[in-house]
Amino acid sequence: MARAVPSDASADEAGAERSGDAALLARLRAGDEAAFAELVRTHGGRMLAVARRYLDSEDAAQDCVQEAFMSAFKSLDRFEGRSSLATWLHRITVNAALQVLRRRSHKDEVAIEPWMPSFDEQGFLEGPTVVTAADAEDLLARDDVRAEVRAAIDRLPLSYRNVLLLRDIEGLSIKEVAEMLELTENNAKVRLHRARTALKKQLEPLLNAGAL
Amino acid sequence: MGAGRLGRRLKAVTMRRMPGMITCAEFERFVVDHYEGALSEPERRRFERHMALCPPCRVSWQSYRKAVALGRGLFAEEDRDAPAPVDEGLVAAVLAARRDE
Ligand SMILES: [Zn+2]
Repeated sequence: MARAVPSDASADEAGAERSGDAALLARLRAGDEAAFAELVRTHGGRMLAVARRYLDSEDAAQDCVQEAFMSAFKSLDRFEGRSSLATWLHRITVNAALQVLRRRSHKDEVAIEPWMPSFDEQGFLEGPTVVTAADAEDLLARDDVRAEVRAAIDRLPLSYRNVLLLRDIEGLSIKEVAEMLELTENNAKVRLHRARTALKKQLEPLLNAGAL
Repeated sequence: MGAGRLGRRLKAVTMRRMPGMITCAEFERFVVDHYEGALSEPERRRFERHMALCPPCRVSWQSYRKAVALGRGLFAEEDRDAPAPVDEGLVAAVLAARRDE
């Protein structure tokens, strides 16, 4: 899973992060209990935020983070330090969340069809003809926009939301997404498109204000 | 509304007569590949030609890109911001689970 060091981290910060990681890692490998507590306090918050993207209840997110730590502890010896501890734990959290979702049934998922575009009998699109000039960055400066985007993503059926999160947020390739979710590449691509389209449809009042 | 219908019918007739012109439904099937940079050169030209002549598809494409950018931007911001402090209950739970392993 390709995930770069956060873009705002300069080389120096990344270097400092690595040496801090190395010291903590040595204590973890030595079985120092205080080091485990420190790891949870340092990284648990971010991991919870990630788990909440995939899982719809706070309990499930907490359990997921706990499981993620357990699997991290088990593979401490295999951590090679090629990424930062933060990146490594992030990846483990995503995997743990997907594992939780795999165990669930998707029978009561909401349908995605109502968010799909409609075409007239000639195959022409009926939809808004105006789009806001504001770019994403400007829009995201508003609290109401952030809340609405988050709610719209959370409303997506899980099997679509996962594809969107893995491709657009985690930056995996479609091939990698397909492998992780045990889908064909084409299926993953169709789901990705529908997820983005459903997100767009829900955000129409924001993106296409004054249209229709 | 009547003018809209007439406008659409005119558009349908005009666009149908143009060589290589695709319908909006066909345009829609190209969108994800265009976003991913996976269209062949002839496909990309057909996509661009349709978009140049069809305001709803042009707006739909721009909205699609903005919707993705909003999702990306939102989570990038969350990743940058310092998270809320970890509940000590979680710390205790993780340490207890580790002892039980
Ligand atoms: Zn069109």
